[in-house]
Amino acid sequence: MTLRKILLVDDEADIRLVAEISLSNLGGWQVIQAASGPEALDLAAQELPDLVLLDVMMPGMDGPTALQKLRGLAGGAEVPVIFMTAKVQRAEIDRLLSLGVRGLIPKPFDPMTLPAEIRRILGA
Amino acid sequence: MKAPPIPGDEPQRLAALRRYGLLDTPPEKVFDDLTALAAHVCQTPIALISLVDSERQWFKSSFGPFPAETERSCSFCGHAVFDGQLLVVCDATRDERFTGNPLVAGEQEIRFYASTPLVTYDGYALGTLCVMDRRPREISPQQIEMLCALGRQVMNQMELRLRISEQERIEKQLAESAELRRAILDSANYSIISCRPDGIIRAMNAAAERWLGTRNEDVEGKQTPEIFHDPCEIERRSTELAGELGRPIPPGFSALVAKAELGVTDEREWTYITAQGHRFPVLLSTTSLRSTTGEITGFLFIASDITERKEVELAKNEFVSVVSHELRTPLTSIRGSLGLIEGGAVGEVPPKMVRLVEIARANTDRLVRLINDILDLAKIEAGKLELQMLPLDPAELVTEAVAEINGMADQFRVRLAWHSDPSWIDHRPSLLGDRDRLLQVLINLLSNAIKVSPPDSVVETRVEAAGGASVRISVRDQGPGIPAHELGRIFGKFQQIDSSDTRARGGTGLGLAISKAIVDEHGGTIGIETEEHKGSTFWFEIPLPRDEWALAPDNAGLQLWRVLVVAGPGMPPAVAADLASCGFHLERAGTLAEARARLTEAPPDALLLDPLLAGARDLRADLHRDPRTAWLPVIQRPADLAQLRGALQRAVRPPGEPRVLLVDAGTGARQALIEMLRSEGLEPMPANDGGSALEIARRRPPDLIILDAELPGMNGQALVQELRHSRLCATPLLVYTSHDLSAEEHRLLRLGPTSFLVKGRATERELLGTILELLGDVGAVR
Repeated sequence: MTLRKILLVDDEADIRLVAEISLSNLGGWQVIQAASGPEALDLAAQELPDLVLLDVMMPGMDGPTALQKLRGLAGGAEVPVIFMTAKVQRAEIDRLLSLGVRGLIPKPFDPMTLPAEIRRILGA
Repeated sequence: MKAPPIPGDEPQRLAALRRYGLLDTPPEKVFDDLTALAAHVCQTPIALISLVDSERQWFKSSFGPFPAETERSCSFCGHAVFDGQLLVVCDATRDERFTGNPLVAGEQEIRFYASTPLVTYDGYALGTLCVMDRRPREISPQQIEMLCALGRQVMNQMELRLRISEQERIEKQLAESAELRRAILDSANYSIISCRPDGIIRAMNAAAERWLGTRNEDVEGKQTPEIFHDPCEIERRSTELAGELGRPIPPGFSALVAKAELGVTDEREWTYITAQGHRFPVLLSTTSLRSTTGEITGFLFIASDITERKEVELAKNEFVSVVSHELRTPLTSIRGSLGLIEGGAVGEVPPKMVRLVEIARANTDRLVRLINDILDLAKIEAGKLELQMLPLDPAELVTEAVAEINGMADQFRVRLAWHSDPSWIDHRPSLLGDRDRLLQVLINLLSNAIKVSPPDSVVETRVEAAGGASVRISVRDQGPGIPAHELGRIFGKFQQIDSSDTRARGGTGLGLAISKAIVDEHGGTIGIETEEHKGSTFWFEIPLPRDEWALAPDNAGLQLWRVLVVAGPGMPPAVAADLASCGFHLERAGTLAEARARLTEAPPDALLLDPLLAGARDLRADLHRDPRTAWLPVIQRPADLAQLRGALQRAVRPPGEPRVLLVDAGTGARQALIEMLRSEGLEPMPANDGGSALEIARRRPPDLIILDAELPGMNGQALVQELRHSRLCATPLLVYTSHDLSAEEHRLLRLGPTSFLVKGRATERELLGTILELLGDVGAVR
């Protein structure tokens, strides 16, 4: 499957902007954005993305909950998901990785290498 | 008259006299009976028990009228005490010692005197048992004998009393100290439980009774402290201990005391459960009590309630975690924006601005590192550094760290070199440690070393055995060294040699403090040797698990395949590490001449040749001609690692049908398995135990090992451990046992590609399928 469209989910507009520039300018991907879990699920239900970049800590519905609901959507079970998180404690990372995602990108991330990092995770 | 002389050891004699505590005490029947007997036997009107004090003689018992005491200077008994012997004076008027003596000349008119000294067990004459008469007379030998016998009785009585009073004193003291101990134990804010060697509770203190909601009489002599524990925790601990001590520890009381039995005080956190089912965390220290001969006489369990500490810890952790998250979120936007500008992702930026943005970006990175380090340190200080202890190869650790830091070394124009202990070619010890954390330490030491190194210098890493019981990893730089007065605080927090260093080099000043904490947590030590203007060596040592202590390569003949890499570019460390994990040890010859020398000295198992190298063709031809090296497999360096791995594996494999090493106790099921392998064109090589399995594998390396974990002698786990350090470390393994294995056994029984099947449950088809799958390419060529 080729990667074309990425759903970027983060409650911080600034971070979305930085990531969006990186993903579209450097990665050459189409980016659709959501500022919360429910918004992301709405978008995903309309147009299934090839990859979801999902923030973990969001007010209201957090990343893991959004992931669980995404898996319940039609076609959502197979969508690759990568968590983005500012929580870097190892126990927390281990727990997140056990939830059935392709990988995890710790924040702060380097936007110049973000596309390469994504390719690496998906290629593995 | 002559006064009695004073014995030479008079002070000691007087001390001995006081010891019996008889002076100036009232008369007593036992002594009076003895003087009466003495008077009767000797037919005298007077018999006395005389104790000779410093200035007087005092009579404990008198038969016949006589003063209660007289002066020592005029005493007969004083003479007897000095001599320490029987003294008989038949007529005092005719003895110059007593002429003019008031007892003789005075109203008492003593003429006859006979006495036997009262000598203590330690040889002091305290006084006498004496008889006296007012007329001169003789005394018969029988009477003397009786007098002496009675004297001994007097002394016996005195000794007896002494012993009884001593006994009473000790008992009183014991009672007092028991009382004191009880009071201390009961007022202590610790739960204290004492047990017999078999675990049965002897006693609990008041705090234990109160906290655990039980009474001494309910558990004493009946239960073990296991009833206060969570069975799951005990089970976990017993698995952990089994791994650590290399022998099974049954999940019960043994798991609580296994460490204490070794003579160390075992301190760890447990959950106590009260009789009412309430749970609370404790810090429990377990000690074995021993007799003077070293035998264990019991165990002591001392626990403090750490509920409060746990809550504080939790709150602190939560705080640190939240703060770190909250700081990271804005930093993500800052770092990201700066990165995009600096990288030119949003358009051309004037060079001066690039420089400024770069400064901002670099400092943001530093801030992130600081947050990481502070988070680490907070965890360490809260005792929350949870290590995931797994067996790991120290040499591999070094190659991995070097690979990771290589980019930084290039940036600083510093060359990296690393060596592992030369005696490790055959058997590299396996450390028990947390891979990520030890890597963190090593990378930290390496990055420190690189930062202080002048350009074009070398940073050298060594990994070697340190005294047989630990592994030492050291990093040496050629930097300026560290002044002696700085050494004391170098492992402290926020320490840099000078503060300008921080800004110039981008460090946080927490690295060494964190490294020390990690090494400490592994039970190791960290240290530094330094010489100003010459450089420093930072090192750390991690103790080896007990079964790795002896590094003797007893699997001789199964050491890693030696591959001589001839010239060309050196192998990246990751490649070397990968090949080592497949059983190949790389050695490099820099020139063709060196290669030729090596080939004759110690022929390798294979040769890896760069085909573009000038003279490579000649070398090949020469090798082919020489009968000593004609067999040597020569591999041209392929493009990628997987190809290289495959080529090497094919090169060292002796030709023939696929060989299956069959290791089981030789039960009936074996024959059927042998038949099956034969009918599939495979060659079975049966072995009855671990030792013979190694022997067979040494002669003809197998392509697959089928192992029944239950073996006599060396067990299956030990065999697999042995093979893991050998050239067979990547050999496929099928563990074929009669029962289900635990998770721990699953972990320990792994070699190359490994499958597990249970006898009787797997069909023959499944068994064969698994065997062929594990054999892979080798199986397909048959």
